[in-house]
Amino acid sequence: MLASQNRLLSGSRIASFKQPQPFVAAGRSRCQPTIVAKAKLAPLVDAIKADQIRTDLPPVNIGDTVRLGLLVQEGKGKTRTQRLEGVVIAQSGSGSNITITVRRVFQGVGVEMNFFLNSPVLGGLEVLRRAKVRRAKLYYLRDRTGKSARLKELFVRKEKAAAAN
Amino acid sequence: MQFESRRAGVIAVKAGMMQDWDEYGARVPLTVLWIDECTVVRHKHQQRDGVTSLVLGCSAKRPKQLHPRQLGEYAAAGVTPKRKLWECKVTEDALLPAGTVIGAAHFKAGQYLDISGVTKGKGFAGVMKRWNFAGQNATHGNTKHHRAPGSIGGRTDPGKVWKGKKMPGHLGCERVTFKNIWVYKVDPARNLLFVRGQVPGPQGSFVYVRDAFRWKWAERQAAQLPFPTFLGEALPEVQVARSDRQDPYRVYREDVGYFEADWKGD
Repeated sequence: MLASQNRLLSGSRIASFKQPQPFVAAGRSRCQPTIVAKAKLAPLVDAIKADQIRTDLPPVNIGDTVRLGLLVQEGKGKTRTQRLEGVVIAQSGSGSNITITVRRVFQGVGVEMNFFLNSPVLGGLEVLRRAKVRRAKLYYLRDRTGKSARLKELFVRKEKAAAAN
Repeated sequence: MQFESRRAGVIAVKAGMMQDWDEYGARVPLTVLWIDECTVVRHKHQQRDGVTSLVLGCSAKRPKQLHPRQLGEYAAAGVTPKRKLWECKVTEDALLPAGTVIGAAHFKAGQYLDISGVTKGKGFAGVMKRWNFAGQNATHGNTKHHRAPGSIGGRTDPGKVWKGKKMPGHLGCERVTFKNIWVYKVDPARNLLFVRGQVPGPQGSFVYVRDAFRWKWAERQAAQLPFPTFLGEALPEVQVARSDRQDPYRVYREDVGYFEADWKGD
């Protein structure tokens, strides 16, 4: 084999040996002339969901006794607010799809209702009483009635409550 | 637009899910589809290729990642390199020139879609997950056969296991079409489609979006979809569709036997 045909001896292989390049931001953008738009999907959807989060309702904790105002359609377009009361025993979801479960014993029957906190159907929300609970979910209240289903009241100073809001 | 016309579809990226509340206050679960630079790369004709279709491309790809011959094809079409290509069968009156960008304005809020995609892979799935078998007793002396299939055939007759017997195996990662998906909202400026319900595949995957095939011609005509595509200068505003269902909170009057909204009066 001729020396000129030997690729190892000829200069082409040595010339193609890659020299380590120092990292230069300007140099990288020159190597990639086409601008590739890399959009991130999760922040996009989060930004759209953030518009739906309602700021007009007070914050709700587990164990609170709340009174909700539900906007109810009545026949020919008239809207009425139906008041529903109960203890918040669970909270689920995050961001724009936060759900609370409100429990109440109504005429001897335990009733649990689920609400989306950011729904336009919620006319108003009022926290009547806060409770000291040591659980995230108060499902144990389903087995208790009457005096054993009481929750210890949590007293919050008015200044602290105002500062929190 | 004729009865037999089939418009171009679109490749979209499944961005995530969220919800919104419609005019009745009912919750609508939504999937957000992002149409990332869906462009016509080339088209095929019946005489030359045996089929009338558009080859659509979606999402950008760095030129470094492609073979020079692939780059040459994109350069010949005058289109930036694409990450995903899909051939979409259309009728001749819906053909579009190479380089046409199809955006969210191609669709209208309130229309119906068929969405195809590759489902999430579930791996080697057992018979209860794959074929909805009932399983066996959890207790009462059952030994090690709680989720097993049980019997797989007869005895000497037929003396074999029938072909196609439902057994454990690979589940998912296959192409599936969800039909008649309702479009709740269209955002042409950001190229977003908000459709009701679920769409096959995980977040970030590509889905193929087409007009619903089983959509009555009278309704399809009334929707006045942009044909062959939206070619206007100014993008339309965000459109939100009116609910296609009845008011779920309408009051039923037992004494009268009617829903109040339907009551025409005496």
